[in-house]
Amino acid sequence: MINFGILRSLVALRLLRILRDRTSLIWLLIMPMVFSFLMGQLMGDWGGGSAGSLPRCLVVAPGSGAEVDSLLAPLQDNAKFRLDRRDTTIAEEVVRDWLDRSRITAALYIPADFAETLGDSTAAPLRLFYDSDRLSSQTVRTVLEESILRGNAIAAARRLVREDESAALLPGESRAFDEATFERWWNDPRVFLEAETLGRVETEEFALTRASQHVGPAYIIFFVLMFLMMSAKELVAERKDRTLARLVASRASTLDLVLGYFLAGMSVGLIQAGILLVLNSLAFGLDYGDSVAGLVLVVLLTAGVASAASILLGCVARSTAQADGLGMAVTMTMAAVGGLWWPLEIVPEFMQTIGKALPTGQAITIFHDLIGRGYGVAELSPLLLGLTLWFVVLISLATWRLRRHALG
Amino acid sequence: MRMLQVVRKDLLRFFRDRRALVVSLVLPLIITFIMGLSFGGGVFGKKGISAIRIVGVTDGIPQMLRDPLTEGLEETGFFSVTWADSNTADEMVRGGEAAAAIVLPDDLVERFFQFEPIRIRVWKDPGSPLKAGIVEQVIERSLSPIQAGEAVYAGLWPEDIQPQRNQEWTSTLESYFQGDVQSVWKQWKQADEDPFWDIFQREFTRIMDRQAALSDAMEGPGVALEVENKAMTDAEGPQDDVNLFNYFLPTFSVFFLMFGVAAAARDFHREREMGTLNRQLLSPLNDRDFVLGKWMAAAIQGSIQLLVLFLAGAVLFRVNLGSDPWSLPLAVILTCTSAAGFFLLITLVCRTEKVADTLSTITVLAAAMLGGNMMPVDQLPDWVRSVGQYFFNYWANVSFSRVMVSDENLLATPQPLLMLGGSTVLFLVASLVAYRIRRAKGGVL
Repeated sequence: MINFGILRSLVALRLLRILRDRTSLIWLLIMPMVFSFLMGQLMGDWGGGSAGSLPRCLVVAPGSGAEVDSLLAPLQDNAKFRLDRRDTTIAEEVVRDWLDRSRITAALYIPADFAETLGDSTAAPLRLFYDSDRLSSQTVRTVLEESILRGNAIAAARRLVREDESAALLPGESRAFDEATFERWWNDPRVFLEAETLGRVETEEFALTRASQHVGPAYIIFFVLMFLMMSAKELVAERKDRTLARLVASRASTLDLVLGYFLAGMSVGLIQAGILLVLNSLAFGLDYGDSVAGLVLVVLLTAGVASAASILLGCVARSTAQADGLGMAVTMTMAAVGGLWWPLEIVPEFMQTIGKALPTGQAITIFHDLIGRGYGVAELSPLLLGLTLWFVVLISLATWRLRRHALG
Repeated sequence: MRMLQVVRKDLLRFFRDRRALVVSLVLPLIITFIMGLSFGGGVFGKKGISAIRIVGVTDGIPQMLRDPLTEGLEETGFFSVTWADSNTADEMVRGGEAAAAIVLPDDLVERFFQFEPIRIRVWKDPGSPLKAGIVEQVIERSLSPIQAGEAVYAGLWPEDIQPQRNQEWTSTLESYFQGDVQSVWKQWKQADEDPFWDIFQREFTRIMDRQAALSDAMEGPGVALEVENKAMTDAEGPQDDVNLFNYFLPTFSVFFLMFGVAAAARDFHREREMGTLNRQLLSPLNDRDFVLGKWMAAAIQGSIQLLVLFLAGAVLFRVNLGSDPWSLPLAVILTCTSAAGFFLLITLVCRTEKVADTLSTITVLAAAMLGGNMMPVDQLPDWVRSVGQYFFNYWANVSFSRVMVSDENLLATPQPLLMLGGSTVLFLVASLVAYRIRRAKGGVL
């Protein structure tokens, strides 16, 4: 028989402690939002981001002139990178080093005599240093190649024009080059590419193109887990100061204690996650998909897993310091491997497999699938089952350990 | 000498707490290991995000076209290509099994020869925008020469692009291209009696002449671009292989150092609350000795932590400790003296251990984000870097990066060391002042 009085008391006690301690509000709400904002800014590289956070495309152009300006015009004001034009020479080793360290996304060398040697077959080539693993760098290459191709195409066309009406046209020659027609075809080609993002969001607005759509949910999961793991020391303290023994003496069964501690942690996790979901939505315009049931389930299971893990940690740690250390270690490792600090998309496949086996990896993948793919509960069920499995294992272990402590 | 007694006592306490010791030393190594695995430390995985999985939609695309397309796409070095029907491809992309699908029109060949618009579609995985974006860029680049060629052709010979052809001409033209290559060829061989055949032959020859001339002209002198790919260069040889542990180990070591040194500095509050501080104050220990003793103990503790981590990193991850014998030890010592001064100051201005704990943890996390522990200093956005320069860990990260990543001699370019040294003096003086003020107000008891 469950003693609801004890359950209520344990939940109320935990919430009261948090409300009375204003510093815990910093960890519950303020730090997650600060992290979301700052990490969103730092991860701006993977998407658009503000002009200041865009990756830099270095242009080393000792010469100047209309030709250089015309070549670079299409690279100006791009949403994925910003142009940094220098008129002094920079050694290629330095540029390679900057590229290696991702200090720049690409570097373009334009020879000093570019304008003078235009159209000359002996002219020195432009040199582009880029990183094919970066979207911004790939975009630089695409835009630059198109700009060069356009210039070369016009020059080629002019070589095929024989304006002299008295001379006979050879096969493959023309009397004129109609630039207006060229422009029309250049801007509206017959063979064209049309890209669409499948799933719920059919625009470029998802995930890494808007870092907040990864960072927001990731730091909700991270801070729910961290707060509950860090509060495991309270259970250790209750074991040490015999509060647990007094609870047992007051006829609280193991089930009451497990449920009480679990519900207390779960309540904190749910309140924290709920408020953060709303704040992220208001501050960063996050939209969590169309499946309310999917969202509710992932939040419930995440809070449940974190609460069960917290009880288990509180039972296995021998001191509050050990609980703190282990809690920090477990949280950080789960966050790093599970793809909370960076999306699993960018890590090798075996790391993705490991990450998706962890509750953190499962939870963040569910958020990605809710937001990006518009998945419902049916499609999310394998991941939700995975989280449920984690919950069952952790709560079983926690119950077993707490029972041992309760029985002395 | 009295100051050294304080140092000895604090260090003894640190070494006796074996669990804290393990956390401060093992956790950075674990996180470094994970980062190395995730970002191509070269232990198991392939570096970078090469070999992006894409799926070609087979509907209406003959095998003879599929093979060169697969070859062409895989030759770029970016993709691994499979083929599937449109429904399967849709499922694969939606489910994240492929980063993108390339969908060519069913009647691609006919459209090409009849100057009809050709729409090539790329379906992108919403959960993989980075890889899908790269697919889109590469496909777009491969279409550019075709688009440029057609635009030039249209500018030179607009009459070929919009021919004044009647319905009969269009349907006859279509018939010349129906079927596979063999049947098209047979049809052409038997078309001598066809009244359109002569016209078709003349037009076809003229167009082919023009295409050939245009092709030659496009290959003529123009602006040439040489492209050097960093990702490919890295993969080419061991001499270019970057050991990412050289970056990750120092940044995570500094991150956990901040926690360790902050905890050591907070010892002041623990002693105050336990009453042992009171007993020390009754001894002939003066203010300066006490503050210096606390500071030095925290700095030595931090230095030991960093040195053990770096040595372990050198053994486990082959981390480069630099070629100059002085640069790394100096960077370690000055980083720790600065960190000890900073966190001692925070401890002394906070009323209780709990407040000091909260404030120091917030500071550690903010400093880690702004000072380059979460992302390489070089990659920080400008405004973040300009703010980060006010945190000691920024200069620590710059120092370690120069020594361990670039193998530089810090004595030749001493700015980071000078910043760390200067901040040490500043924090230490401020700590001494804060302690005296606190003591004058009775706040140390």
